[in-house]
Amino acid sequence: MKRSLPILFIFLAVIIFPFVLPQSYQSYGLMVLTFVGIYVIILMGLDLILGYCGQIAMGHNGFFALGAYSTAILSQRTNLPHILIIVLGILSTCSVAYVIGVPTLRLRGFYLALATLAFGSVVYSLLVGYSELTGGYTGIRNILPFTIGGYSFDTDVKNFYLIWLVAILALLLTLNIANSRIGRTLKAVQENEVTAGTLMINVNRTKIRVFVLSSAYASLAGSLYAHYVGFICPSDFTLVITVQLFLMLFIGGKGTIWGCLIGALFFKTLSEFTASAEQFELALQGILFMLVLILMPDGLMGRARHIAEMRHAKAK
Amino acid sequence: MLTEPKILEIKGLNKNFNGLKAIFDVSFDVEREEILSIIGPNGAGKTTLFNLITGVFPPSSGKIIFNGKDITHLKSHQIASLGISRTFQTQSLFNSLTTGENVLIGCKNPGGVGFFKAGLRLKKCKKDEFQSLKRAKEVLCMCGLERKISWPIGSLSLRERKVLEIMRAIASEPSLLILDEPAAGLRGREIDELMDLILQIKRKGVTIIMVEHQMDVVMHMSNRIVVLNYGVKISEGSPQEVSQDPAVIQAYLGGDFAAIT
Repeated sequence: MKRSLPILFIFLAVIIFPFVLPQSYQSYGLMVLTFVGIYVIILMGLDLILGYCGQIAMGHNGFFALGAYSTAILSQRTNLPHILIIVLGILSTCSVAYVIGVPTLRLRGFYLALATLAFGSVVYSLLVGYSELTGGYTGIRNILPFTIGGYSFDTDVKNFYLIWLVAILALLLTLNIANSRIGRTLKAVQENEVTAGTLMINVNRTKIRVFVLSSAYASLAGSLYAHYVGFICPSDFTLVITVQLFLMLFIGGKGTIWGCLIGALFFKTLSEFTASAEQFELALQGILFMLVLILMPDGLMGRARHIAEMRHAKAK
Repeated sequence: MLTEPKILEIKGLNKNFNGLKAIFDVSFDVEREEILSIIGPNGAGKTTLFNLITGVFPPSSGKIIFNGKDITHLKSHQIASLGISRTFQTQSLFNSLTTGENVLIGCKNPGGVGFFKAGLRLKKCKKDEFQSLKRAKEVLCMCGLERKISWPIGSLSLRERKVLEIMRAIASEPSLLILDEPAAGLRGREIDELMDLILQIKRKGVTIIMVEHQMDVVMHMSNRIVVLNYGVKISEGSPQEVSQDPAVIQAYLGGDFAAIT
């Protein structure tokens, strides 16, 4: 029961948030928090592969794009139910992740980072180049809001609830994984693949599965993003997205799952202020990233845990 | 009546690292429920031999047969699932996990819990958590570490870490346990306690292969000894036989000394 208490708290916070928001900030505040929700979904997948399994995967902007574009294209050109389109998007993204995961996950550290980085760039180039399907630089406009059983999520509030409902469900799923045998297995693989292998862990299979799973999170988030924003173009899916995801994960604290929530919330709120710096925004984010890595390598969540442990030790 | 196959048969094993012959034509058998020690000077290929048996890397040629089954080219996780477990020469506990979780990692997964079952927290997953925890506590009770089940690895002493590593290895109830220098860095009473623990494990029907540099431990504990030097087996037999073998004395003390005695 202890574990479900914070989730209940988040659930209630999400429900009352639109009501406590001042009227003048209504749409702005909801928009920021809806984006936070979308980022939280991708981040949890990234935390499993990076924070838990220790594989530096930098191609999540690519998976995010695959989800968004599959939803945009299929919802405009077919009459399939949106939920089915999202599932199809996830399945095709997972297939792509599997195909690139099998050879690249044999690489370690640096090399894996570069290979997955290249994947993200390839997806970006395809979005620009394959313009009959993707609209090239101008992207795809007028994507319909998510509709299920005739009910359309066409307002900010509805989208906010929809995305946070999905985020909370994904959080439950992720926490279950993290707190099970699988969570331990992933950490073991991160620390020492040889030792993990002698403890009956199929290291390659574990890495591929977690990579594919984490691509599914990104694809799901991409689909929701496309429905919510209604307009997507390749510049939404550049390497900058991956860098920002890393920044959020490190601010929040990798390998904790809860850090995803804290990191996304902190980063998005902060970037609403740094946005006024215009062309220097990225530079500010870069400096922030450096500071986090130097001063707080375990992130806010890691800090909090450390403080709690110290208190616990003192109490003893 | 069919005779039970030997627990482990090593047949003409070779391993070359870029032309360096780390293991050269080594053959020996391991009997059920014995303690077999492998000794030899530094660089003799003892750890390489362990890595070959546990599938960390494949041999260049030769065969490894476990319980009558050819495991020469299996992956390490497959070999572990068949019942061969090991510890490492250097500390290999997972520092990001607690004492208890390190043992849990070693526990079997009979329910086949994967991402799906774990994510939805299906009945099998809950059952697995319950049973694994029970097994982990059982194992920790054997060595008196049950009190420290939720401690981080960093707060354990060297002796406790050495013991915990063995406990993690036996959590899966292996039939063959391979120990790479279990007593390294330990002293006096710590070693005696460790040896008691190893004998206790052996009494449960586990066969043990061990590399150890502390000769009194080797002579006292082993049923048989295999001696390696520069990747070649130079002697095999009971502790008495091996300690009187001129080839062994020469390898350990040098040719001149052997000539004088």
